[in-house]
Amino acid sequence: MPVPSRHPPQPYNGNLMVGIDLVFIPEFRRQLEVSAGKILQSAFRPSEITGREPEQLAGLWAAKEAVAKAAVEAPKKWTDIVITHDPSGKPHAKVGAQEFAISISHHGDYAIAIAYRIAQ
Amino acid sequence: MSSRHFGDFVAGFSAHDERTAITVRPFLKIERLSYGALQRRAHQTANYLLALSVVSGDRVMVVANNSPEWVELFLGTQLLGAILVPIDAIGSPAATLKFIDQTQPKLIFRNQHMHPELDTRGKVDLLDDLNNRIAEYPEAAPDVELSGDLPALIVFTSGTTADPKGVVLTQQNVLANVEAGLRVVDVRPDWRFLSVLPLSHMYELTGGMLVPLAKGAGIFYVPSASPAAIARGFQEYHITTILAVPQLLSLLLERVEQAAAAQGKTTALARAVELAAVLPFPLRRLLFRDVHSQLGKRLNLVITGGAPIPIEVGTAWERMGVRLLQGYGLTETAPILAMNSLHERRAGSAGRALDNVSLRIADDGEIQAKGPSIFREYWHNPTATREAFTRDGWFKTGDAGSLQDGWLYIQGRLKFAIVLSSGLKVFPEDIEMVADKNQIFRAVCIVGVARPAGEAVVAVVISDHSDGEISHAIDEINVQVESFQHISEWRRWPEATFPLTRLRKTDRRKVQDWANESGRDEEASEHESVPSRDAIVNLIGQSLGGPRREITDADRLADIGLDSLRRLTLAALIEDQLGITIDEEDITHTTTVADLRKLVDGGGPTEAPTPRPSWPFRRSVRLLGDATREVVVRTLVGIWVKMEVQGLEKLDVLDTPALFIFNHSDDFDGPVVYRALPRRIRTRLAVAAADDVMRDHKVLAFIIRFCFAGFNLSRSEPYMPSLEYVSTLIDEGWNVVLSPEGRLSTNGVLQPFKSGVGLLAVNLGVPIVPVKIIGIFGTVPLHAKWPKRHSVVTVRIGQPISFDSHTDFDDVTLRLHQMMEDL
Repeated sequence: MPVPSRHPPQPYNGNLMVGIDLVFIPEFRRQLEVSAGKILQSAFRPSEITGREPEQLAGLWAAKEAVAKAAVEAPKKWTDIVITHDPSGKPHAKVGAQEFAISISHHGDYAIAIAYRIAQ
Repeated sequence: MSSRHFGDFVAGFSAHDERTAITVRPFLKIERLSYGALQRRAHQTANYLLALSVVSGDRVMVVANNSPEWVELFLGTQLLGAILVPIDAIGSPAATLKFIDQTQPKLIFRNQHMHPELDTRGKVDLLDDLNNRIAEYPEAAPDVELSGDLPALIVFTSGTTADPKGVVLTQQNVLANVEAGLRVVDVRPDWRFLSVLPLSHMYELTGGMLVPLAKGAGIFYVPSASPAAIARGFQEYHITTILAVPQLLSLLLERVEQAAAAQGKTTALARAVELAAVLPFPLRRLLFRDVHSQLGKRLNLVITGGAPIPIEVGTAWERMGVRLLQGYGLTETAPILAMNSLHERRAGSAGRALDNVSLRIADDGEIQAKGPSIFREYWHNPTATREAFTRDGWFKTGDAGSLQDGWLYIQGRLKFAIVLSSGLKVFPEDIEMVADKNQIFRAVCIVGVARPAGEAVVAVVISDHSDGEISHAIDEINVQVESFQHISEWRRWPEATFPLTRLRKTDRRKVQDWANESGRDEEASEHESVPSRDAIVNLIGQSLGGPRREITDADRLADIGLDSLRRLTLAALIEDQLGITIDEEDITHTTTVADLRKLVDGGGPTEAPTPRPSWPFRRSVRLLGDATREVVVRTLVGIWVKMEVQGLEKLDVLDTPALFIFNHSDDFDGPVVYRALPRRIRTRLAVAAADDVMRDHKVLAFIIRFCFAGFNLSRSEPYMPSLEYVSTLIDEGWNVVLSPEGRLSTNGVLQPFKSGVGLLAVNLGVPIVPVKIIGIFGTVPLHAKWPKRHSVVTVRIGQPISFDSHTDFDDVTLRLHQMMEDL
């Protein structure tokens, strides 16, 4: 599924691109349940799911949506967005050659993420 | 009367100490709870509740989905003589608040992220955290005197939101029903129950939880009650038994029919169903082996209740070799009153009364009952309690029926209620009370209209307003009532007033008969002409959940609420329920419902995954296969390969099962790894082979399966089923050996590892043992059928390593690769 490019490439030279997304965790959980977990493999790479609870996955999903909005060239598949964590636990994302700093937060029923494209 | 109580029930778990009581599967893990552990946790839960000053007679409410913690909480409350008030997790907040007002619970347990509104209504705890909360509490049973007369549960009867009645059931009521039920169906410890109905209903609580627990059988919970999750549950757990409502049985039957249609076997299926009528049960199962493999191969007993099952659905199941036991009961009767048995079943009958239940038919045709499982009273409602019993103490069920030679036939209801195929009852007054407030109706009468399975809620209205206005008003009503009470259709009454009874009340029967008549023609034509239209809208509805406005073909998916995540779900549902794979990339935020139909029409049938037979893992096959391997393969490899094994001592203290990984540079690798490993490991070692190899080379596949307990592992997406399969093998005690490179190295140099190995390493929680084979490359060159040279091979066994589940996964993959390089 191509990722919606709610910010189509603009004439603006694209040095600074930012994306944000908010996920309602109960609804995220429901989608996991309704699809019997199948959406996990369309949305995430194996490395991203490891040992994570639905709440954390909701945060990662928010991050992917945020990255999609911040990307100059929208990724074709959600699994093209690769999220990794450095040893301190700080998450990063890559889409092909584009790199993103991301930040994820949870409170109560919501997860929120912001992505910021790091200029090449 | 002997006093049965839950103290004895929980003590009885000791007889099955090591057996698994409950299994759940969160993501890639399998969690099993043994009877011994369940007993300890029940004790700990009781001690924890005691520390929160919950005492005998106190109410504890649970608003949550089925889970091991739910069972622990139930047993914990019972060990204190406290009363559990179970509420359906998907009920409306308004109803739940009413139940709280009525029962004043001391503690409320809810699921994380569900019903946060309860937090202001008392002391609320998360059921998900129960095991952490109880961990520090003593594992011995609390010292509380129990008796069967203690109230165990207050269960609210379904439907009556206007006037909810809490049925008080004692420990004795419930346990007497469990025992009598077991005398009809002799549950054995090797039975495996799939639990999909909510535990907040007595049917599942008694039949799906307590009955198996009384006999040491296994209970399996699925993450949701969606058809996909249930179908997976059947396959993964090799379920033998399920408690179902007719709706679920119809759904599963539809899946079977769809699968047959997808393979072009619709006529064959129909013919087989005809033919099966004259076959004994074992042959029926053979005839329908495709169906049974979809259902996990072991399903042989379905217990149904809640609503009468359509005869044709019942017959179809029996023809396919699944015994179907229909029963009858009510919440007030804890719940079973009558049931068919394995030895004697009659289609259309609800069976015979349980041996501790007496049934009689009153003059007006009402079924009345007496026995130890009949409830004591409605909570704080003496008037309702009085009305529920006759003067001579028989419980009035409100249902009409007849007894013929002791067989009970249900004929309908004396009280006016619409019984949905889910078994839920809708009382028309509940909806009419809401509808009457709407000014555009002069009068509304809610009735049930017969559908193939159960009844649909239909509003018959008298109004001067337009159809559009009426539809809008109906939508408004639906928002205000419980989701199961939703009006699914409305009809305009042709006259100015409804017919009246002699007591000047609306004659519901006449209105209902008219609605059933008037709906017949249009309904028939609707169903025949456009079956697939409904399928798509239905799937969209499943993804959206909850009430929704009408969906038209011109709607964009994004505009009707399908955000990117829900569109992924939709693609998964289409694949799962229609058997059609469409490229997810083709469903965008600009896709309309009409576009989606085109995609579905043009989509290819979902490629069936390469099957993974279970026979290679049978004990008898292993005996033969292992012997063949030891003699034939060992000799053969011995001729060509001279082998030295280093580091065997590292396996002396290895905790099995373990995951063995090796560098793959030659077709002889597998046999060599086998020879290198000690007997204790090799007799319980399963070998992963590439999916395409196993599919395309039948003879090789057979040898791998037979001699090496081989199984196929996909090297590409979708990766989840493969990984889950490996975790199942490990869970069953098999050591697994696989090559993390995914394919044979063409130059003998170690290739990068697939990240799946890291995923397994982190999730399985078992040691990983790297095994390096040196000097074998070229023994059986790529594409060669026979060894080309003799080799001297060194097999180095590395230090077993375990990873904690929080370790990052790509790191683990890289580390394992490095370990293999360094070895």
